[in-house]
Amino acid sequence: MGNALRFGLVALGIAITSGSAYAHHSFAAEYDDKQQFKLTGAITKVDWSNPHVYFYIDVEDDKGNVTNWAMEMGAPGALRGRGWDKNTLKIGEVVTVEGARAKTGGFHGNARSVTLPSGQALGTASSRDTPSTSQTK
Amino acid sequence: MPNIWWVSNVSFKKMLLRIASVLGLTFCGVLFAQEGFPLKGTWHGNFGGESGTPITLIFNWDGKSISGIVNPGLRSSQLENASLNPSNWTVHFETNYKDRSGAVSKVVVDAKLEDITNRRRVLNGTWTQGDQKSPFTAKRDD
Amino acid sequence: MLSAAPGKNGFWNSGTGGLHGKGGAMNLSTNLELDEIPFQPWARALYDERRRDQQKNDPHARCLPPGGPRQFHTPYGLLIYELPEMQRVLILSGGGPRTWRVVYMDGRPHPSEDDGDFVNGFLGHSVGKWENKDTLVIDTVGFNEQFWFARAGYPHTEALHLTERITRVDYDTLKYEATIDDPGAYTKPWTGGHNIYFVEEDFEEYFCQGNNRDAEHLVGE
Repeated sequence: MGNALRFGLVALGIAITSGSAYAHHSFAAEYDDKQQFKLTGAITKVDWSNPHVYFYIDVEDDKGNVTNWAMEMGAPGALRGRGWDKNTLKIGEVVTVEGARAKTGGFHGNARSVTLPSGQALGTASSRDTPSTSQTK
Repeated sequence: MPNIWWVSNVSFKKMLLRIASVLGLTFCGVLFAQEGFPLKGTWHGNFGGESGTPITLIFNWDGKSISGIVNPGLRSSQLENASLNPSNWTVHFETNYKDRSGAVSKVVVDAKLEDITNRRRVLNGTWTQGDQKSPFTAKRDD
Repeated sequence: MLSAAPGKNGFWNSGTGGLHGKGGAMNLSTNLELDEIPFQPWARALYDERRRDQQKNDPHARCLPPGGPRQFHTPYGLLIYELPEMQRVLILSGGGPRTWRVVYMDGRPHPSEDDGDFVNGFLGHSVGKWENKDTLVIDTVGFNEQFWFARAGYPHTEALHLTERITRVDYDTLKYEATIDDPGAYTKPWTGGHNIYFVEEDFEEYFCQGNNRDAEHLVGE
């Protein structure tokens, strides 16, 4: 049992921490790459957690209407190697997000890049760029 | 709805953001608290009735006192004198609210927390701005 | 020492007992009564609300993981596997979302919760050591606020620092004692626990997410 369990724990550790791990669902099943958006808004919430980090921004139009958008990124482990940590996004800061809209509509998108107030643009380990276990070669 | 939304003037916003940071109106948050202190988290709502003015609230709890901000972003204001009375679940807070024209006015909110064990609990009460009183409601984000 | 003898079946029959209230076959005689728990007023009021609505919004009923003592209150069994060659203890749940918890026994400290790479979680970060050769003492920090840490429904905050003492009193009896140190929800630390009994059977396969149809029907009062 000792060797098998040891191997299993090591394999599990590799799967969890690898930035190139397979996604648990397909991007195309959830998001429409033809519906691209570029939105600027203030961060209202950050859920820094597996399986996907989500952050939320208030986007205000010229008439004062506010919509709150949910933006999906990769898992914390995948984002770690791309310049992110849980403190990168600060509530109240204004960011610009580019990505693809959810097929179910609403205010939900898959973020491909986030431009911070400093001007730095970060990739998001989007599921768009991560193969899912349902894809075949 | 158009596929491509308007692009902000990032340079102007960067300047305003520096001002906001100096005023302490941004903070790191992983406000995941569904089951902790009942107010903690992000809330969206409005004041002024059904087609009223949208409002976003962020509440935080440090074990002793409630803090937070109204409308995170470029017209943020701090919560002041925030309190929660657990004997009847009433909530009170004040803020120097900034409207879209840039005018600042003192606002007092008194509300009651409802559906308390639900992670999408609700605040219902009144928003008093100057001598104007109007309905206030907000729901905790999921 | 905390599991079945090699080659034998057996698990700890978790799911009964609590952290407050004396007496009965399970609870420790040293437990506090409910009114002695040093709740902050908001935490006691929230606890009362959860009892009043029959705990209808318990995250556990939606298959969210059982952190802290809740793992010992989750029915369908518990296994505690010591892996001295790996300097780990694993605590495996037979029920719930099939949770497994790692306790580091290699003397490492907790990471700083302010570290940008540290993520508060359902199970937190656990380090352990043996006390008097018979008691496993587990120290855990880094919890999130998305679960109830005990079946009774006591609230907690991210400030929770949990200490658990686990002693195999005899082959069939495990004594579980938890100290709750959470200045966000309580005015001082408090301790409570219960016994858990051994069953010489094997786990069945159980995944809460597999056939959980209750959530939409939990209406409370």
